Amino acid sequence: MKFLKSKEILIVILITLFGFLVRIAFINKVPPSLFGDEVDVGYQAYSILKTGKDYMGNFMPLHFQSLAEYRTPLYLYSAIPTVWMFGISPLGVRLPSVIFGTLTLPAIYFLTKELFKKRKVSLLALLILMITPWHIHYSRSGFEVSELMFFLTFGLLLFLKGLKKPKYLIFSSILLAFTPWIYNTAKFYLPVFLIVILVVWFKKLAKVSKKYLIASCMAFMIIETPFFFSTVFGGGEERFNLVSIFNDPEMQGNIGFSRIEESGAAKFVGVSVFQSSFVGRVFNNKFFYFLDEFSKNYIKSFSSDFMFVRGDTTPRHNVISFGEFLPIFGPFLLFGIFELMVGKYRKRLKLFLFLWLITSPIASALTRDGANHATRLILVLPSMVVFISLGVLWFLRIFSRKTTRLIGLFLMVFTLFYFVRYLNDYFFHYPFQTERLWHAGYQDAVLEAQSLSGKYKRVIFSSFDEPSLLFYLGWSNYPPSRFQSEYPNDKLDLKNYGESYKLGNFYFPPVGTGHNLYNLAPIVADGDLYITPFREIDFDLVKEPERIPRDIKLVHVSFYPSGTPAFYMFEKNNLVGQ
Amino acid sequence: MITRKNLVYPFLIIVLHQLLTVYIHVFLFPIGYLNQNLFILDLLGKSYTLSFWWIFTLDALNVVVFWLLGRELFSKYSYMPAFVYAISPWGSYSTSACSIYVLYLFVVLAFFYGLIITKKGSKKGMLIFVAAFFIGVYGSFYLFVVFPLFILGLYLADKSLRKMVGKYMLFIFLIPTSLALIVFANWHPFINILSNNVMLFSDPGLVNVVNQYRGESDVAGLHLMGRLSENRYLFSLEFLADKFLLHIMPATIFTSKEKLLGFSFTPPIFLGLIVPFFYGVWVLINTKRQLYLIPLSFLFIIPSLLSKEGISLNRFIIFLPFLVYVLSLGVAKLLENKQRWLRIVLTSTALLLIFQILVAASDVRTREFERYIRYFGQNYEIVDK
Repeated sequence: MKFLKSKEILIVILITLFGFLVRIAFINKVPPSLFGDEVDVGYQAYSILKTGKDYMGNFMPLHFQSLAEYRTPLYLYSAIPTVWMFGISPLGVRLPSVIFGTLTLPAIYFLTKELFKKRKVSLLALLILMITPWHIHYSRSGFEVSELMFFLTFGLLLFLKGLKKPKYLIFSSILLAFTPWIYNTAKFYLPVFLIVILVVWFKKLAKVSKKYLIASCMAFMIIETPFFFSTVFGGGEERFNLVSIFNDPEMQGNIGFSRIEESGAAKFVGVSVFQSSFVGRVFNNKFFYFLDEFSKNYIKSFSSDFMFVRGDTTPRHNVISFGEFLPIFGPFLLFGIFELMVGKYRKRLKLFLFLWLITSPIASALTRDGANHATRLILVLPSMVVFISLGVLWFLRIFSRKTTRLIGLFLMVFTLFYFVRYLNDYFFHYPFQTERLWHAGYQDAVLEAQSLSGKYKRVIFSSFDEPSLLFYLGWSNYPPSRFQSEYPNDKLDLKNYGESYKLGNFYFPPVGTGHNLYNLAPIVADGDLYITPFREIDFDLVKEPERIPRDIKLVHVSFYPSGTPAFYMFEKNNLVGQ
Repeated sequence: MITRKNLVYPFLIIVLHQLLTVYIHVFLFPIGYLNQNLFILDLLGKSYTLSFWWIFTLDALNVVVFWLLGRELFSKYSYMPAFVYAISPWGSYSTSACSIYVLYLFVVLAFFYGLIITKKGSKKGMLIFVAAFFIGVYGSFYLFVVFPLFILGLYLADKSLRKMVGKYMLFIFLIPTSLALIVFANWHPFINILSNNVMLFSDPGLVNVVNQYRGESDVAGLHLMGRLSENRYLFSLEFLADKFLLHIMPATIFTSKEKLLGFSFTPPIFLGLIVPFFYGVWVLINTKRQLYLIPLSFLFIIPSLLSKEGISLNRFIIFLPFLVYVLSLGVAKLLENKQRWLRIVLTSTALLLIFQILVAASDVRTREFERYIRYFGQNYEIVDK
């Protein structure tokens, strides 16, 4: 109780509670719907819950086999209880993220307190993380990284505690060993991170009782060994092969083009054969290409444009026109770095924080588009928060007390202004601007199609811009055991649609297959219900119903939250000619 | 005192800078800016095009003034500002494309030099200061706005300068006042110049965005809040604030995110200097040395802020003296500091700088001209909007 009476702890609890509210408010509506990967999480958790297997039929897998790829398992397992409670819904899929996101707040507080032993730094770090758009957004969506951040910060906290009370080292190694189970980036980052903490605290670790060190290593190995084998031999490396810079499909072309430029042949139009120069070959080859891509990605990871102004430009990863941090924190990151560099802090602390900061984007820099990819770069977030907190404190410290109060007030007003502006954009505008990217409309379309399906011989669900099979499985709660037995046998060549999956009387044509509105009449046969996304038709048939050809009939329209059509359902119009 | 011995470094720096400029010019010729005229000539309906040799000479003089400024501001490392300017591609690119902003940069530098030596008691300084003020105000529409505002700011912020400026106040304000009379007599040309130069608010997208946001607020049931928070004025202010942030972002200055001359992949200042720059900012704030200069310096962003383009590096170059000052301060302090950490930083800065210069030199030789053709076709003209 004494612990709870402390004013500081009360502040921590209040900030954490507020952080929780910000992270859970309107979770069913903002982001506007579950997007493909989130539906996948929900359906995998549902499948485990019902059958003990992933929906492809693998028993308690270490990498979940999805329709598109193999996925890391821990978030999917974490979602089982919430999906059990709330079903495959935004709350069911996103609640683990909200919980881990909220728990990261006190974790960062206790971590900074352990590092600096200063109340102000830790409270400030907590407050900054609480209002950081990057963390808010990823704590509200079914991405795995919010869980990853919690495991990493809490694991590090326990490691630091473990240097004094060695039993904590075992728990720390368990948490850290689980990080690759959460998200692919951690598979590359964990070894680097372990080297960093070993380099920095080697002398202290050497003094720890061997009993605990061995136990920690054992715990680590027990968790990591099977996962390592699953990664190498069980398809877990598939995702990295897909996105890594080493498999860039543009690489050969780019190297060749650079050699042409270097040789000067580009100036001679029509030259098809050229001799690449020696210099051209020395500087334009795979090695330099990887080095160039990696260094560009790495440097861009720290770009102020990404961090404080525009953020990740993929709207599903960030609110449009907002940075990953509030822009007012930009200069403080810089001040924090120099404060730590020349300030009076322990050498070990300085070394660790700098190594932590500079190593955290490495894994992301190895991937294509990894430069400004907020999901892959989330490992940078905790160290950045620490540096920003140091910077703010330093800035407030250099002025006189009176000036500090004035500047502090000014900073608070600006921070509050930006934060309110962010929340306004996030809750009231972001859902409209990104509804299509969050695959809104699928839920209504699937449920409506399911209720209508009894009337039709065939329900054909177009996959014009997205594979619709997964959405059907997820939103209709299709029995996983049935899917496991049916998939992938029932795939047949459907006339006018190509090779399609068949589940009952539902058909799912291949991705990208679409039809023009005016070509639909001969394609939609008697007894067919054709479900098509708005983009395939590209006309607002609610406002312009006269465009619908007489041979087909619009049965139902599903809408986006903004009120624009998301899906149309057509059937053959049998009244024509009567 | 200037002796033959201490002229060796500045001379070498000028040669280095001219070599860089000529190197770029050789590969970019005949690409250049269009429609550049002095403000007063625009008002009077006359035109005069500054020829290449003028701009090249002014560019060399810029190095000299940077060196002179260095002598006043940095005792031990007086050549540092000139060196930093000399190895930065920004000035060289502007010169090679014959930008009138090289002249304006010279005027701004002379203005500061005059101000600094006047503050130290030199009467010659006041002459330089007033001459630069006169050329700036009559020569550029933006400096007509920025210079008086800057002087006003100094007057309010610096007590020692207040006395000095106060002494010559009447004389100083006679210059813009006389020009104001000319403006009044040539009102229509002035309105044309105004609308050609201030393109910021002529973006029709602004109204669309406001309407869209209001609509979204209405759908969310927040009609009143929508009217209060989503309006043209607040959006313009936010747009301006965002644009300002973009200007002071390190990526704008140290990477090729914003393109020099609208197409180049060479950064305005090499990325290798980013750490000394940050260190300079930190030192500036830590020592609380004339902190009022930071907000005042932002006045020189106005020309680029008002451009239609996101950032006009051509106009933004008049902000360069502040960047060079902070950079030089950073390098000088790094050189003075004996901490091992900072030594490592300095060494990596030097290595990165050498590497980048080599890469940029190769890129200019092999790709820059083709890049221009790819972006703009073959008319070799750049228009600053």
